[in-house]
Amino acid sequence: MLALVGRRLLTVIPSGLIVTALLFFSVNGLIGSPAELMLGTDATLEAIAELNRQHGFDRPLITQYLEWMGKALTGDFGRSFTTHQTVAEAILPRLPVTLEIGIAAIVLATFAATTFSSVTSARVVVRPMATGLAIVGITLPNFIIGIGLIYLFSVELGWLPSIGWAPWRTGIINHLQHVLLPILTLSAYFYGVFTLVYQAEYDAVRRRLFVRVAKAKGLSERQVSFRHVLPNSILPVITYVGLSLGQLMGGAVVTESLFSIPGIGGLLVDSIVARDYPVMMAIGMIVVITVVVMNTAADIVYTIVNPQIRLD
Amino acid sequence: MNADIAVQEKLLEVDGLSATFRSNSVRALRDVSFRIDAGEVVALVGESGSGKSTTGLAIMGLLERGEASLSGSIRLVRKSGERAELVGLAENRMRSVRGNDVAMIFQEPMSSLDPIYSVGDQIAEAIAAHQDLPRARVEDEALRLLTIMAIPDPAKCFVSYPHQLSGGMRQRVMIAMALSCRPRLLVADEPTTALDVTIQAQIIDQLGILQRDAGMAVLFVTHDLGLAADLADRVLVMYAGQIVEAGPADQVFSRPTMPYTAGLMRSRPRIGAGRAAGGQIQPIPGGVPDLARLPTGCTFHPRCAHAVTGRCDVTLPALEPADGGRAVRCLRWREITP
Repeated sequence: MLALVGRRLLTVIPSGLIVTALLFFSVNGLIGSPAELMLGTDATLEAIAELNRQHGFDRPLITQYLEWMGKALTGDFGRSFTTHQTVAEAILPRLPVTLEIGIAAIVLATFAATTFSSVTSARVVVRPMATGLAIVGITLPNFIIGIGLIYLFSVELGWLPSIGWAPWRTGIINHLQHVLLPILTLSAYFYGVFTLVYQAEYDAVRRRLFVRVAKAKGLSERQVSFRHVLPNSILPVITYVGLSLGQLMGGAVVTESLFSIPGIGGLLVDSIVARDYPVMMAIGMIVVITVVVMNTAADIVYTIVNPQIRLD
Repeated sequence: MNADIAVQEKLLEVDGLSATFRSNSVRALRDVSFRIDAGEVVALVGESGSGKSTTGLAIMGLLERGEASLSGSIRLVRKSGERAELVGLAENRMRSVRGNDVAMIFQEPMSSLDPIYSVGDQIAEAIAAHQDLPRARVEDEALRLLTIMAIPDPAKCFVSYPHQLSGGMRQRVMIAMALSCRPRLLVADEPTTALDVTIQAQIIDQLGILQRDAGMAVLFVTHDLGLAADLADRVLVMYAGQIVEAGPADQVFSRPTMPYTAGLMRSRPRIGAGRAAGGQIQPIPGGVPDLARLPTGCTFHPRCAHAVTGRCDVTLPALEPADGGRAVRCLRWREITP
């Protein structure tokens, strides 16, 4: 299994190459060099050419890309064109913020999707509500859900702050108050997808013979549902968790800007607008690595949930 | 098997039981009545789709309310001595009956066990569902049950997952699980149909021994008349959701009265009764009728060699007492019995 995990992790290399190349060539090829943006619209052509020469933007794109790649392999991701911080300095303080709300959103979505749809008492009420919420989560764009939550919990009820960020050191309660709405906003879409995937599997598993056997033992509906049906229905949800990292990044961009949260999402938008490709591509690499790690983790969780599955 | 039991204690009494599936309004059971005495082995035989399994599920209360509606009565004498009416019993009380007073084993051992828990955990769960014992005692008990079932390495089996066991082993585990709370009635729904013949014989043997030792009654659902004849004290023959013949096993099998039972007997392959002996297999023509479109009159008349137009296709025969302590559902049984 270790060998397999190693092989999986090696896929970071080709995926990383493709993602960074796409980011680099599409942004540079479509919109132009960073120098024009750095100097503004009234800059002289000479000044732009000078800056292009300084940074090497006048060389062929392939050369620039390979140079970036060569340095990245040694751990040197360069400096941001706009803030002149090293890329690590720009990204590292923001990374935990995005990781926190991202992971919390996925965990919350998984937990809510599997729990609500497994309820057996008052099932006739809970199930349609779970499905209805799922449809809302999938169809409504993130920012509308976020605005709706702000309106309800901040404006009308006044329970939670609307926007802004409070780090852990400002107090746990204060921190949690600030992250709750962003997490709910970000998890809505995933709750929806996970719920629909889970319900389909749950209904199929319920018809399997071992569920009838579990009932025949004299277990309660709740025990049958949570001990036998739920763990046997959760595998496709785990697959989706592994696959949802791409959308999570997209959701984080919107959610972070809506709630003014200093995370990676906001940084990615800024870097794309500024053609700040060292930052942009480093974030791309982070996403690629996370997706590969998450998918490998999902495969490992499979074997824990279902002893029949062996990785080899 | 228990001819020596003089006092017949009534254990289960099914009276006028009907079941209708809600999805397609099919009446899977129509006016089914029979009784099982304590310690008695009753075989329920018939073709696929005749309502055998539905009868077993109805007794277990495993036909979900949204799935089928039941009418009639199923009365069970519980371990406590209380007589409980199982039709319409509240779910929480039914739960204390299932696995405790009545247990069930199913046709497909390959899919009867939950793939994600070890065998030991699943037996322990059955024990803990009805007995308030410390975890260590529960595990000892589970291990003891595996030993009783003649499982070669019980300790290893205990920690195994279902996919690591053969079909025969899994069915042994299922039986161990079913016996865990010492039920007074075991519903065995074709427990060996999916197994190899040699394994089948071993399991049937073991089941017989356990049944006698525990004085447990068994409702043995099967389409295998040979097995039914070997095991059962009494036989119930089902056709299209009705009981068409019932009586002591030796009587029914040596001298079937209902043409359907006779037909079943003739369609059974037997060793030593080959072509030379003139004992060819004679299948019953046609197939089990569609329960949604049952024939008028006797449901068996379209396939029956003795059917008389104007009579069998008009009048639904009642289950009437016949000689030898049996009951038969046929308008012409007096005329056609040799």
